[in-house]
Amino acid sequence: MSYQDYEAADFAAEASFQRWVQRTDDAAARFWEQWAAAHPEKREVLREAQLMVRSFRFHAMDADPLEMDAVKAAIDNVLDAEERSKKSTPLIRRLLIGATAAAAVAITAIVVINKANEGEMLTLRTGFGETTTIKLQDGTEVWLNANSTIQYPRTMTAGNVRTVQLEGEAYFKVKHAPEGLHPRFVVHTSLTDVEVTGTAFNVYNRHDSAAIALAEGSVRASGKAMKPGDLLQKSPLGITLTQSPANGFTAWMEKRVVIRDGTLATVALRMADLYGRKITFARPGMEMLPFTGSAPLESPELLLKAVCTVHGLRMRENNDTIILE
Amino acid sequence: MTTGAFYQQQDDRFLWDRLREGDRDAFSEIYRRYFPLLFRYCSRFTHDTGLVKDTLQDFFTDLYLRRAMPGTPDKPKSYLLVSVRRKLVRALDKVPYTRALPEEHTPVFMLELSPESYLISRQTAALAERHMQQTLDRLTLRQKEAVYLRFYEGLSYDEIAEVMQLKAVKYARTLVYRALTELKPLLAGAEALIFSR
Repeated sequence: MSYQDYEAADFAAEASFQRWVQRTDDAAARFWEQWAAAHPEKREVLREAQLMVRSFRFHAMDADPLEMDAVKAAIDNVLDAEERSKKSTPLIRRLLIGATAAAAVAITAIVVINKANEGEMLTLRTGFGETTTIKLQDGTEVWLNANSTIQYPRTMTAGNVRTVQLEGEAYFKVKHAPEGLHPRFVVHTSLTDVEVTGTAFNVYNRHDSAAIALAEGSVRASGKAMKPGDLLQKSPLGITLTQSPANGFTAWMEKRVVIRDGTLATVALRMADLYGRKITFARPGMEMLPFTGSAPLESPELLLKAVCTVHGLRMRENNDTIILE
Repeated sequence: MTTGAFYQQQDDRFLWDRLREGDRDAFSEIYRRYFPLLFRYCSRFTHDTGLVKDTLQDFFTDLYLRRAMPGTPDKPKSYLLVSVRRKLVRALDKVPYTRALPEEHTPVFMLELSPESYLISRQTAALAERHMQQTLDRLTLRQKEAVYLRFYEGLSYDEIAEVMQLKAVKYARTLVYRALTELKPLLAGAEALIFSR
């Protein structure tokens, strides 16, 4: 049904029309004033609708903020007690997820006031063993892997390049040319900058290596133009541009840990990065044993069990360390 | 700065996903966002503020404890409204006679004009005001509820159809339209007062 067919009651019940009459929305006002001017035959109908909006204002009982807080406190009491009564998690799981299990969603957000003209930057940090997603103001979506930090501007403007700073690993789905904002989007990492024009890609930046896997669109990183499917790796040894394995860099978004054509050293590194747990080997050379496998992010113990099964190893704990022998 | 600022920037879908993973901060933000709306809505059905608060306390507690069950609702607002309404109706059924006046046992939906209404501010005579309230009271309960959700809470017809469990969106529009048509005579007196913008 188009506005052309509207009667007074229809207009009066339209939210943007109400905002115009109550003068709370400039955009709505512009729209309806233009529409009214363009449709002189609707003049009477619009007048009646305006009168309806002004007349049919209803009384409602609002909650007292103190009462609202009191009810919330009562709810929190019940929920706290519920959480304390939960049974403890199994040993290896506790070892890996450990302290973060109790605060499985301990996302922290800290406001940093940036002294440069870029304005206020927000920081989002994931703990060990947790991932999260966030939508930036321009509509860009970011999946943040475990033990990673992203800094992003609270407000983006037309005058400043959209810029975020990443440590760890994240997948970006960048909004292409958002209206009223700067067309460029740049991801800074300690090793490289990724310059984007509207695209989806994964950035990995831990230790002294960085890897960028491009899913859609095009980006420029470390002076190289990338096509979808490309994998750019940068380490002290240099820069390589190859094809990335299917889904190899995005499995974590489905909350899985994937080790492909790796070694036990790769497994140990992953466990340290994602869960903050140290793994040591009883015999030298063990870390070079090959391994390929995957497990759900919340059950990393399965990955270690697979390692033990494949290579006939045993797992034991010593303080905070997991020893494979 | 607490986690509050971060959660306040997020959309409902994000909060709901976090809630399902047991995130208490996301739960607190959902509470902050929706408690006022649900309180106002429930208060349309009963004057018993204590009962409304008890119902909302149970409602939000369950929302967290049973977070694993429902998927992320497409329209969180109407999902919450329809669920809280179901819970409130059950609670109202259980109210003993000592707590409520007998006539409050028939379902009600209260709709009163606010002092901000053009009609009330322009026609202060008590008689005229009573006449207006009588006209309002002639609306069916369903019409009142639909008008309230549309005019006071700004719900779309889609959302209203969901909250009121209507078979099709067009019935929501019909309810509002009929109600406004019935109220139209009230406007006749005020018509002379309308001025050009």
